[in-house]
Amino acid sequence: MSTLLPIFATAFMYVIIYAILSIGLNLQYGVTGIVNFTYYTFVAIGAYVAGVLTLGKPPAGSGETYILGLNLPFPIPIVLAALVAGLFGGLLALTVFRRLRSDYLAITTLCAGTVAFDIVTNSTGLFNGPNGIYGVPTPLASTFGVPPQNTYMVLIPIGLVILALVWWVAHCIDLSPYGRTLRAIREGRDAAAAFGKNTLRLQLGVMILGCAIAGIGGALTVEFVGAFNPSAFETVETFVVYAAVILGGPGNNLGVILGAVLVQGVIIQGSLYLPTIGAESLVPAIRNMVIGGMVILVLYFRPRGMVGETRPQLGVPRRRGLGVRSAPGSRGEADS
Amino acid sequence: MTSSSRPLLDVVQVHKAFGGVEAVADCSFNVVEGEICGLIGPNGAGKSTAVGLIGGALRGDRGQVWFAEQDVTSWPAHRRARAGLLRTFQLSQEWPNLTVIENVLLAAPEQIGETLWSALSARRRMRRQEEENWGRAEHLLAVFGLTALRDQLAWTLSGGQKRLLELARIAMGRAKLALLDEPMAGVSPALRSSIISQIRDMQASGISFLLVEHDLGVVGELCSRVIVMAAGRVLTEGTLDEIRQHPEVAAAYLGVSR
Ligand SMILES: Nc1ncnc2c1ncn2[C@@H]1O[C@H](COP(=O)(O)OP(=O)(O)OP(=O)(O)O)[C@@H](O)[C@H]1O
Ligand SMILES: [Mg+2]
Repeated sequence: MSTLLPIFATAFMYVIIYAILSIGLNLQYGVTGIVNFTYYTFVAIGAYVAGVLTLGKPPAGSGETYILGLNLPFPIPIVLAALVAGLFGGLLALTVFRRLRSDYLAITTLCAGTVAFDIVTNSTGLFNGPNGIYGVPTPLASTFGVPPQNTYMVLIPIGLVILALVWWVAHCIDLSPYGRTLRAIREGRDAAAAFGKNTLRLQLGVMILGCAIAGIGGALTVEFVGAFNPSAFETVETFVVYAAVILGGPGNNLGVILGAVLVQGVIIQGSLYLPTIGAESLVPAIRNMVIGGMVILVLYFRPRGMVGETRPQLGVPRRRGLGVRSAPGSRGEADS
Repeated sequence: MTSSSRPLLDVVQVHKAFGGVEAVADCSFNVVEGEICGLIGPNGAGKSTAVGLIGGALRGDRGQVWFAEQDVTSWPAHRRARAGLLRTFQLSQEWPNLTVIENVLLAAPEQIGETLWSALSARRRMRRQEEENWGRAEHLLAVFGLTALRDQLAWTLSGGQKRLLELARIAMGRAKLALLDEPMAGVSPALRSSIISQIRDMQASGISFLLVEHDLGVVGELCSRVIVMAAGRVLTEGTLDEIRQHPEVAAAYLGVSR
């Protein structure tokens, strides 16, 4: 019992973080159709920003260098992490959406992510370069006298509250004409513009919102793990979040939470406790192959994911029921 | 006196070249309020490009577009749409993975819950307006004979049904002027007459039209005035009977069509 609890609590905390990340990516990719291949860069921005805001100045003689070190109390670092990540998301969107067709968006975001990765790795003055930041204290742990190995006792409640909040925002969007308009942009940007939708502004807004949510997830990560360095935001991390969204059901908030449980809770956390077979890197490699293989299978056999997109009908008088489940068929089948 | 008010749509010396191709070459024409104005011409004449320039999907190289007494030349497409200038596309552009009624609802102007903030904070007002819009959308689906398809995804519709859906969106959007780019393309004769009467009814309800159409029978039934384009230029304009007499038109267009 006493050995299993921390294991499950840790897995649960990661699932919470991943559920938050999946909802944010779902807003961009699943709902609005924005293919942001550097989503995890915004998780990293949130993690670093929250980290250096929570940490104090680097101790003299430690060799560590990072900016700020403001020692700010909870929840200010999380809020600022969201703002900064959202700001950078907006900047990326401004450069991308104004000029480029959405096909080029994917490759452009990938390039931007690589640039960000190189900057963080090579400029040690920013976030301590390749070694990253570490020793980030858990918020409120000292207030409640929680021992360092049990930080999940404060972070799980905090995470659940944030997840509930993020889910509520996404749910309200789902139920509103705003969400319907975002879906119209996904389904046909020119037609949306032809009916008065300011597609540039709407896409900009979704980039800001989704990236801010990524930043919140990053902030929770650094407060939970206590450390963050460039190895934590390699490109593959973005694809793992995509896997959660695609497996769960793009466009469906509950579906992508289910995807987060499957990918993070079952596959990733589960594989951590498998016995080492062969080389040390074999299990993680097999794990990524399993995730990748599942994505391919789902895209092939069930493109709407485990749970398809449902759209509650806002204006329907109640007696006619709430939801219209999408008819069978996939995005790919639509003849446009 | 500046009483010489402009017509509802005034296209002044508009020009658009794609590389070396002058798709629309210094064209001027207008649509007056209340009319259904035809726009005909052979394939590649520049009709769809003209529609794109008027709707704002394309940016012209020079010239001006005036709509409802305003110079909208620099306006993006969505702003022109909000002013009441709506269009259809030569290839139907429904939103395929949204339901038929969602497609219609999306066209409703000035929706309260269309920003993040109002989606979170003005939920009661939003719901009330949505119920109103829903009622209007259902009415329009009935008018256009799409009621049975209400909850189907739009990509499952037939070509002709998609044309009807596009017209329903225009009506929902409270257009002042609708640009229809070949609304009859791929439509069966039976549906054709129904679309013709729909367009007439919409005209009676106060919508003006610029109708791009190859079928001169349809043009003759609907349009009081016809503009003829060929090779990016306006050849002539007049009633269908007048333009039939025009020698260049006979050569450039009528000769090849029928
Ligand atoms: N995006 C584009 N890029 C390059 N050339 C274009 C483009 N759009 C149109 N053109 C060219 O402009 C000319 C006019 O095309 P447009 O589509 O306006 O003709 P149209 O009158 O609508 O013809 P149709 O009756 O076949 O629909 C054609 O020569 C076409 O090749
Ligand atoms: Mg055309």
